[in-house]
Amino acid sequence: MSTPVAETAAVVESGTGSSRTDRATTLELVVTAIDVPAEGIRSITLADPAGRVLPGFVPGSHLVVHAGPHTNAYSLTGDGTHPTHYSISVLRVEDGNGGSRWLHDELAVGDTLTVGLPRSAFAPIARARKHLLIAGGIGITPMVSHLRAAARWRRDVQILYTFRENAGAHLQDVAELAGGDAELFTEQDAFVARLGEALREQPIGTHLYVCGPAGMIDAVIDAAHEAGWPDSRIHFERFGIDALDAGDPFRVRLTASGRTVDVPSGTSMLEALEEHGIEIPNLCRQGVCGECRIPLSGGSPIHRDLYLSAEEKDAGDAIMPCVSRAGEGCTLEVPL
Amino acid sequence: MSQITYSSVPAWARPGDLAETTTPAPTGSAYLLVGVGSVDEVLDRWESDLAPRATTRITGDVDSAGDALAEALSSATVGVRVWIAADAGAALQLRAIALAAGLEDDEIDVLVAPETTGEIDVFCVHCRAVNRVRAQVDDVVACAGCGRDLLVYHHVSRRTGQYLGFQVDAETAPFEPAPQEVEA
Amino acid sequence: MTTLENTTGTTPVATDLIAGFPFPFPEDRYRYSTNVEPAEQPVVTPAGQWGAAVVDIDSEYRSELDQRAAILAADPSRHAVLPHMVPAAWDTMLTLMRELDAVYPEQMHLENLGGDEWLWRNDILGIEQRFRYADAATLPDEPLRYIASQVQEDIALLDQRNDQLFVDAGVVTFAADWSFGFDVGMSFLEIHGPVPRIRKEGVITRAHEFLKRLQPHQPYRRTNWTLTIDRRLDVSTEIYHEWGPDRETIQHVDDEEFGRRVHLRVEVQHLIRLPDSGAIVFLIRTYLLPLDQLATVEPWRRRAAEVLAELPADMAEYKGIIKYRDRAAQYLRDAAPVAPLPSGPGMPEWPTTPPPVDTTGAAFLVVAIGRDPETAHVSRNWVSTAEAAGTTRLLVLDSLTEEEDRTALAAAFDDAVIGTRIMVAGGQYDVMTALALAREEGAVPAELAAYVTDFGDLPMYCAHCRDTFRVEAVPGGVVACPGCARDLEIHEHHSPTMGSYLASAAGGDE
Repeated sequence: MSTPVAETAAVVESGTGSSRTDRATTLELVVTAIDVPAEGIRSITLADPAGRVLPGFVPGSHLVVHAGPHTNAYSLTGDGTHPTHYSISVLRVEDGNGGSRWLHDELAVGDTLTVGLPRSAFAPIARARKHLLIAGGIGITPMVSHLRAAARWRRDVQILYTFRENAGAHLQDVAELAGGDAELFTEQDAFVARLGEALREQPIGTHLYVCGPAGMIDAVIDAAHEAGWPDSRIHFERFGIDALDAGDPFRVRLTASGRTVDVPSGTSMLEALEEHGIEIPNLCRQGVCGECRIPLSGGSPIHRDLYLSAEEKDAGDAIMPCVSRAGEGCTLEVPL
Repeated sequence: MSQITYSSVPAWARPGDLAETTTPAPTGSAYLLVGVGSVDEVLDRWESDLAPRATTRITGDVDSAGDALAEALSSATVGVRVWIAADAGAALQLRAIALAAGLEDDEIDVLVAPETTGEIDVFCVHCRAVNRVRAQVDDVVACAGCGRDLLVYHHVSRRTGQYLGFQVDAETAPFEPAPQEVEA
Repeated sequence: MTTLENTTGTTPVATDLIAGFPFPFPEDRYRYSTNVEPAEQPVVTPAGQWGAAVVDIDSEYRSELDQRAAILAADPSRHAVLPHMVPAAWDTMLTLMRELDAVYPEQMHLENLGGDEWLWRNDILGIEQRFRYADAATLPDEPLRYIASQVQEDIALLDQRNDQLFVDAGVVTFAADWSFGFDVGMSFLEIHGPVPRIRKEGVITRAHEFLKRLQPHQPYRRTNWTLTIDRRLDVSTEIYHEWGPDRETIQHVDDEEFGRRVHLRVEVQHLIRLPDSGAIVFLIRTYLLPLDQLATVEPWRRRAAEVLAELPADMAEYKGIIKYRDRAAQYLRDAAPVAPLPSGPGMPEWPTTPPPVDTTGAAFLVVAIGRDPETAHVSRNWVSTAEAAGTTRLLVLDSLTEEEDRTALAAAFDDAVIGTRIMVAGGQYDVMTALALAREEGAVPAELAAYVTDFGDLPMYCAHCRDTFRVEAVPGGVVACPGCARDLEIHEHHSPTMGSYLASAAGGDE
């Protein structure tokens, strides 16, 4: 008995059911609520228009949000185990790329927002005997989901939250989730003094998590090193830079066929070539397996793969198109 | 034997490798200096390289030093480092104690000293007995629990500090287990 | 999914086990590579399909679950959850329940009752369980063990910390030559230390970097393989003394036993970043197919023989197959299908059993000639196998001595598309005549298969009147030529292209 080919095809198509939100690459969500918990901060709640459960997320995860013409990442503040909604809190940044301004000024309840699936980059360490959370300003957002998980799993947690007067967010969440383990600061000196003490009195096995303005993160890390903390225990998330790496747009000239392919930002070279009908053998599509290797006859590649050796990368005569790119506006020559 | 280069046996526990002689980078705020065997010279040097009152010295045989280390760690704060000077077998045991207390790899340093007892712990995967024997990787030792001849394999558990031992002639010498099997 | 009708494994190698077998060799030679690829992409094989989902239930479901339970009862060290992995254990359980519900909606059912309250049903095992997430008191068993008792996969959990991955929890009862109990707590790099070549060639380092970058909701998979003697799932180091001697004794058994007992063992590993705890789960699903069954799928037979013969000695040593892999390669080579046709000259070698349908064909033409019930039976079986693999046409004829039957046959060959497999059954005269006609129409030997049900007649070519006749005679016999009336001796010599035995005047010269 072998499966008739026709039935197999049906199985092939229905295997990844369209009702699974967790197998989509992007989600179209509707804004169900907008709150203003503090000056300059908007808390936005998103849900599936059809009411389906959203893909779960690890505490500390962020959501990549298409804010009009801009793409930004924001920490998810809700419970990630079986989420019926996603919540983010956005600080309005005057001199940013415009994404946060768009979310403040343009977005309204009932609007649809395109988002990616949640990405985990700031997860709690499972083996930690205790979690010491240091948050500054809007940096409180990833800590809220950490605190939710700590409450569920009865973890030992301590949080120091420093913010400008009247600009603290999620104060009620922090109070409910951390109670007496939370210390709030609106004055720099008090915060710094208490931080120094806290860093010297943690039982072994404690992990440190920091999120906030760049300068604050640097200062906390320095203080931790001063107090003898090893790097394995220091975790931080910088906003704005790390989340996205869509790359600059560039071009590929196929010298054998004489065609030129544009590779936009956010599209891989492999995807762009495939969209133009060029088939390249591939497997992992993540830069590790080596399957998609193609020769390079000209141009300066930016290698992002883990497959080519250092020598091969220097030689510049091969590239892994699934992850590697070129500089903005540059052209790579490929003898295909 | 070339496989050992990439194995779970830490560099400092491989036979024949030169021991590191430099002091590890002092990034901690407190140091537990643990020595088993004739390593006083090393401990002295470490102490003199580090801030006074930041160091605590622990010595003895592997079991008593291990107990003292566990005790000291139970009241330690983040910033502590554990520096071990001992032969390979003892160092693996002491490292396991430090890991069990919650330390990560970058809070532990090991300097392998010339052989003291030369004893290592070999775990018999068949009867689960732990055999403390004088041996190295690729030796064959008799299991005190079940009598099998165990190959000491280049496979070390960081959690227990033990080497994996399995019956070396399982394929060619069908085995009759000894009447009593000792469970570890 | 099609494999769920029978979950009790009534036959040792049920047909669904071949249809769902994940043949692991993409080429004729095998080397270690970071062969990860996105999961949930179905792979169509010459025998069926695999890989549409991250969990797989087949006809061995109950049998394997029973084996797992017995192994855990005898050796609890195959199950471990270090204290910090409790959240990951719950996460694994819920994630697997979610997958089972999505992939087998008729039998598996997961429902959220609000907040952390859930209802789980497994209709195959007759389980209904309400539980509260993270509340151990609401489950009859530790969560990882609970779900491991309902899936055939082994489960290993990796904790990511300090830029490394540690195997800190799991239920692994079907380990292939390793000890999970010993390895608990080791890092990914440490565990793979003993595997030859891979560290030097960077395969493991790349796999390590890849795993650390895994994100939830994007599962990946890879395959692993070895040979196992007997249908033994548990070949762990703990009981090496039980299965190890077979590697020695298998060398001395006869071919039939060798082919029946030596299995190609394939692990399909799914790599999933868990969406709540952030741990990584390795689901390891083991498949075993005996060589004698593997050999019935021609592309598999051929490729597996090549891979086994070519495998470098250090890899064969590490896989534990060095003592018998050459014999396994030879066994597979020897199992090549008997040429289904006479290939000339001399006596034709007819298959003693009906040859199998070559399911790699584009389409099928089955020709049944004559009234012999065995011809009808054989052609019916061919048709039912062929229909499952492609468009099939059955042509039933009386005899190729009749002009209209020859015309019909010629027309059928004419209509056949390129890549059609032609299979002929009937008496010897009709079969040889039909095959010759097919060759005339351009068919090549690889496209032809035949089975003679009756050797009472044959096509005879008279060297004197240069014509071919049907006669009821045997090679070596003497018969009067229907054309020129001479007494002809039928030589033990045939021509496949002419489709006849050569005959010339008895007692005379050739």
